[in-house]
Formats: sequence, structure tokens, C-alpha cells
Amino acid sequence: MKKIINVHLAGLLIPMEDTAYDLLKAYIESLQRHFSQEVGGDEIVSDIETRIGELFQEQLRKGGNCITDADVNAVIAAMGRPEELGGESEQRSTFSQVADGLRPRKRLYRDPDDKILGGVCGGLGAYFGVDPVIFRLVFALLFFGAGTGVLLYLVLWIAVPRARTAAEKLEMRGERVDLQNISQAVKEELSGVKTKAQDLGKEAAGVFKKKENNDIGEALREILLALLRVVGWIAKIALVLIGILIIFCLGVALIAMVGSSSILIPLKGFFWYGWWPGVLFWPSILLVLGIPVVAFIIFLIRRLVGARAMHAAVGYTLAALWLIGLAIMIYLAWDIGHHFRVKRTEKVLAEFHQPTGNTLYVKFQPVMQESEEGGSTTYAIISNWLTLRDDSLFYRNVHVHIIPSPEDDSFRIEIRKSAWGATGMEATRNVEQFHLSFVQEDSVLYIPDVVPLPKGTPFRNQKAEINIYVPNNKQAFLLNELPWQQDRDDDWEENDSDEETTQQSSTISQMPTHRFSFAHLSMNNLGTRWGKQEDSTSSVEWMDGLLYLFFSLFNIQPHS
Amino acid sequence: MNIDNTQSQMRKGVLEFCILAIIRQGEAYPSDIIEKMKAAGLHVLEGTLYPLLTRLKNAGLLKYRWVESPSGPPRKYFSMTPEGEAFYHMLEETWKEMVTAVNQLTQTD
Repeated sequence: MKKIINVHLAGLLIPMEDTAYDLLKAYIESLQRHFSQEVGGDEIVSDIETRIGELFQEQLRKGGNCITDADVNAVIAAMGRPEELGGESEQRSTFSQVADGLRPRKRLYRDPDDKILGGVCGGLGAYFGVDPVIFRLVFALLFFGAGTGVLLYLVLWIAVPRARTAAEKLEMRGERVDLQNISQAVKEELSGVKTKAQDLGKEAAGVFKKKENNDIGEALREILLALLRVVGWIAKIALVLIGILIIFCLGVALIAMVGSSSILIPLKGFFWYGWWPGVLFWPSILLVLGIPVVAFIIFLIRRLVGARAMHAAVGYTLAALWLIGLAIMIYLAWDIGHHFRVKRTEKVLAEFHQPTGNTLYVKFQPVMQESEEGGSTTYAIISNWLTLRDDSLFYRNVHVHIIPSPEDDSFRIEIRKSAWGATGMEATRNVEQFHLSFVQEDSVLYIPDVVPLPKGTPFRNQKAEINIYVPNNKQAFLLNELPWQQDRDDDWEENDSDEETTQQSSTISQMPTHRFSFAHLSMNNLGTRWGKQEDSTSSVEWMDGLLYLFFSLFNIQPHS
Repeated sequence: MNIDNTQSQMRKGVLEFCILAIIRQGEAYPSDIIEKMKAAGLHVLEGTLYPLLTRLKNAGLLKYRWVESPSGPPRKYFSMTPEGEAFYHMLEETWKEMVTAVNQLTQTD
């Protein structure tokens, strides 16, 4: 019994047996693949289709009510199989043609007939000639290992095409793609459908039988399979969610970048100088962030629509653009890095009046807020750490250390300014370009809480450390704390072994005072800080500075 | 060494020349060309003809026009361009040289 279908072939309506149609379809697809690399390949195939249509029409006119397998095979024999036709590629090398004939080429496809998720494991199994269960186990383990399995699976899912046609399925298994094999595969597929239906029937009928058999092994297998399927479904949903999340995050990042460009454009000026970096900055960010979004959207759409494989050129172009963006980014990073080669520190003893009492109070002057009332307008308060005005950038990189110094008999304040540069000279210039001045009101010292960078001065991790040396019988307090010091307080509480300072704090507890936790930290770290070379070229510190700035960029908080 | 392969390579070599020769005699439709070649005793797979025609057309040696057919879809009728004519003459010369050369070589004894 055979089904007869009407096929529209080159403008003609041809009744065909369904198996004959499968054969013809496989043949035409093999021709399309054969001529796909050639200019005018579509035209060649459609010419051949026209001719086949004519031959079929002739056949029908002779008698017979439909086209059978034999008719199709006769036509194919007359037209020639793709490997006999020769194309431009074959003309170039007859040797590879011979080699192809001898050793069938195996290709990696996703197997649509043996799949739990996307058929990646099935395809891998077919490619390596191993049971796909092994790959499934490996992926499952990798997933529970570090989640790398998910990424790998996603990449393979995107990159590996699904075996659609009979010919592709043959390629997947490494069998020769010729017509005998194709027709065999088609037949197998048809009988596969039959056996599947039979299996279903058996299953339905065998539910009760199985209980009677009480085959525990079989039951376990069933349960395991069902579990695997459930896991597969969960993974499918999770993957879709992860995908949506990734797109969403990249999209948000991109929008945020564009939205905050008014802030970032002037900020960029503190990193790079010259024309090239300025021009390259935005394209590189757009490429590096935007290409994955575009590619992922294309991928999702293709998955949803079930479109044919994307033209390789599109993929290569996207990849190339992304790599270009990455290269520019690396260049820009290098450009920054090379300005962080040499560190210079300038040590100055500050002039100030000794307080009348035994106590020196240190207070951070919130420069950022204060001068808002003044003339210069605040361009953007990026975070508590970073403020941008149209004339300068301010960022919190002032550290105060209160250091007990028994050998002194009066307070001593030392200001250490440091900055980085490509050369020693540049670093020195960067140090000299920023100034830190404080105001004294009797026993209170007002210290600016930020490092001011005038416009035109590059960010080179300019840093100010103010060391206040406290003699034996005197004390120094920090009267206010910066928001970012709060989280260090816990540290301090735990480690506090200095009963002298705790006692002191109680005497002024009525004031909203906090001791600067750095006081404690610096005492602990005194040895290491002191031992540091003046011109240390350790990259750790400038990395630290960069991280610090990036962290502050993304630590956007409402400015109070 | 596969004899079929060598034979088909030999035929393929002269196929373009034969196609041009047939079309040169007048506009021709692919099926006509195949019939004429068969009649002359040159058996080739039909499928080899179409890529060749397309390539010759793309190279500007042939041109075609659509002609309505009473019994089916419109047909492509191919004819020569001046470039095709020149190409044909060069091929003809080579062919004659080859025939003489091969004859001389095969008729030595």
C-alpha cells in the first residue's frame, strides 16, 4: 500500500508515490548541496528540476497514473548522481573526488532522532561512534561540576547544524551519501515510524504485563529514562531562561552605556588622551557588547522559526567584528596599563599649628557637597566615591592613618602623594598636578575627602595618604567617617585589642564621632607600609587602583 | 586506475566543444542538445549538461531566451554570442591539433 501525493515540480503537477517523492527530494537536495558552492548553482538545479519534470510528464503520458520509485531511479540514472556530474570544485582536484569516494566524510550534526535537549549528545555519539549516553553523563557531570557543561552545550547547540535530510543523517553517521544509502535511510525512517507506533501500542498493552513480570531491572530503566526526560525538560526551560537573561543583561548594559554616555564621555577623558583612543572607545564597546546580543537574537529567532543554517559569511562577519572590538579594547587597556608603569611618591611634612589641648580632631571635609553651593556646577555624581564636575573629577582616595609615635613630643603630619606614569618624569608630573590642602581651626583639622583631578589631568591612581603621628601623651580622633569606611568597622570591632583607644572614645561619646578604622588598620600594617619602596613597580597596586575606580563606577548609590 | 573514470574524463573534456558546436548550428534547447549528442553516439549524463550551460552562459559565451512551450513550462533556448564564436574557433583549432597528434601517435605501427 502506498500513498500518492501531488508534487509541484517546475510548474507541473506530478502525482508521485510518497517513497518516490522522498527519493526525488533527497536527490535534489544532494544536487543543491553539490552545486551550492558554485555561481549560478540554484539555476543549474532548477534547470535540472525542469528537465526531470518534463521526463516525468512524458512518462505519465505514456501511461501509468503516477511516478514510482523505479521511474525516479531511471531519471536519476539518466541525469547522473552528484558525484558523477562534476562541478568546479571537482575540476580543480580530481584526487579529492577519488578520496571522497573511498573514505566517506563524517560530519558533526545534531541528531534529531536521538535527543533529549538539542540532539548534541546524539550527534556527538554518532560522530565518535559511541553511545550518546556517555556524552550525556559527561555534560550532566560538567553541569553539576561548575556549570561549564551548560556553556559548552549551548555553544555546540548554536554551532552544530541539525541533520535534516536523509543525506545529512548519513553524513552524520559517516556513511557514504549515495542513492542506495539514501533510499535505505528513507526506508529505515519510515519503518522506524512504524515500529515506534507499534512500540506505543505494546507499551499501552504491556503496562499490566510488566507488573506481572516484575522485571525490576526493566522498571528501573524506565524510571531512569523518565527521570532523564524530566531533567531534560527542566534543563530546556533553564536554558531558555538563561538565554533570555543573558540577552536582557547585555541589552541593559548596552542601554545603560548609551544612557550614561553623557557621564562616561567626559569620564573617558581621564583615561585616554589623543585622537585615536577617543575615537576607538565607543565602537569597541558597542562591538564587544552589541555583537553577542545581535548574534544571540539571530540564534533565538532561527531556533524559533527553525530556519535553515545561517550563511557562513554572516557568522564569520559577526565573529570578525567582535574580535576587532576585542582587539581595540585590549589595545585601550594596554594604553592605560602602559601609563601605570612607574609610581612616584612625594612626601611632605605639612605645616600646621599644634593644637592647644592634647587632642587633635580630624574631620573629613565633604568637598563634593560643599562646593555645589559654590560657583562650579556638578556635572554628575556618579557614586559616593566619584563626582564629576565640568572642571574636575573628584574621587575618594584619601587615607588617613593615625600612628602612635612615642619618640615625638608634638603632633606631626606627613602627606604622601603618589601617582603613576609611563615614565618617572610623567609620574612626578602627575603627582605635582594635584594638590591637597587642609584647613585648621584650632584643634580641628579639615581634610578634603577626595582627590581633585583638574580637567586635562589623566587618572593615574593619584592617592593621598595622610599620616598623623601622635605623641605619647596626646590623642587624635577622626570625627566623621566616610560611607565606605562603615563596612570596615566590623573588622575593627573584632580585632580591637587596643584598650587605650576604646577608652578614649568613651570620653567623647556624646559627639557623633567615629574613629577612623584605618587608624587601626594602618597600625597593623605599619611594617609593610613603611617597608615599601618609593618607586615600586609592582603592578598589584595600580591594578588595585583601577579596580577601585571600576568598583566605584558600578557602585552607584543615591547621593545624600 | 578506474576505466570508467578515465573515460568520463575524456568525454567531459570535449563536452563543451560539442555543446558549442551544436548551438552554433542554431538556437537549441537542452533536450535538443542531448538528443543530438545521443544521435551522434556521444553518451553523456544529462546532469552534466546543465552546469556546463550555466557556466558557459555566465562566462558570456552563450545567451538564452525563454520560449513558451505547448506542453509544459517555458524553455530556455540557447544561442552563441560573438565571444562564444571566438571561443569555439580556438577550441576547434585545439581539437584539430589533438586529432592529428593522437592519430599520429596511435597509428605508428
